[in-house]
Amino acid sequence: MKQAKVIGRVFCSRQCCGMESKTLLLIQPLDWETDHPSGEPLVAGDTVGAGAGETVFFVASREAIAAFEGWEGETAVGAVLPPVDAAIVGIIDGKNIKN
Amino acid sequence: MFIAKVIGNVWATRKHPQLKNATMLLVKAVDPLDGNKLTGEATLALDGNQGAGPGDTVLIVDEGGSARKILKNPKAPVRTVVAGIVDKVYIGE
Repeated sequence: MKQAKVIGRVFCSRQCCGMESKTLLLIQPLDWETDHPSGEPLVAGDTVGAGAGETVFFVASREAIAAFEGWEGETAVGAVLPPVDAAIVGIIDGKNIKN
Repeated sequence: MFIAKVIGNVWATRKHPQLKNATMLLVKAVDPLDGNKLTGEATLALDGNQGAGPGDTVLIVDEGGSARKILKNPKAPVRTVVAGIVDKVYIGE
């Protein structure tokens, strides 16, 4: 899981299966130790209600879909899962790093 | 799997419901041939009931299916999990 900062929001009027009523946020991945940007910004689905400027952590690849599978917002059996490859799964309150 | 050192921890009140009560640790890979040399980028790993803490050398699984098995939660949105605490690495010929 990686750290990121929410830098914006993405709206789509036409979207694919299972993406309806999901919030898409634009995030900039950050290095855990230095908090410096690492890599290009990307679009991630939100499961925790994060907003602009917040520092979050997210999962990528197949686990992003798992985030919507066990989500309070939509746990109905047979529900269509959104085809996302990144999902925000927590808002960071603080961290402690020892060197 | 790889060997890593726990360098810190992270706390979050608002998180995914499947991550409730999870211990979140920051880990950094260790060069297996030199236990004091850390390599690569730090990453967030969940503790899989091992009770690991900062300073420990741990065994990390970086694959979703195995991670969910270790956590015994088929719905956890997690890929990186602490699977064990390393006591010693022996390198022989």
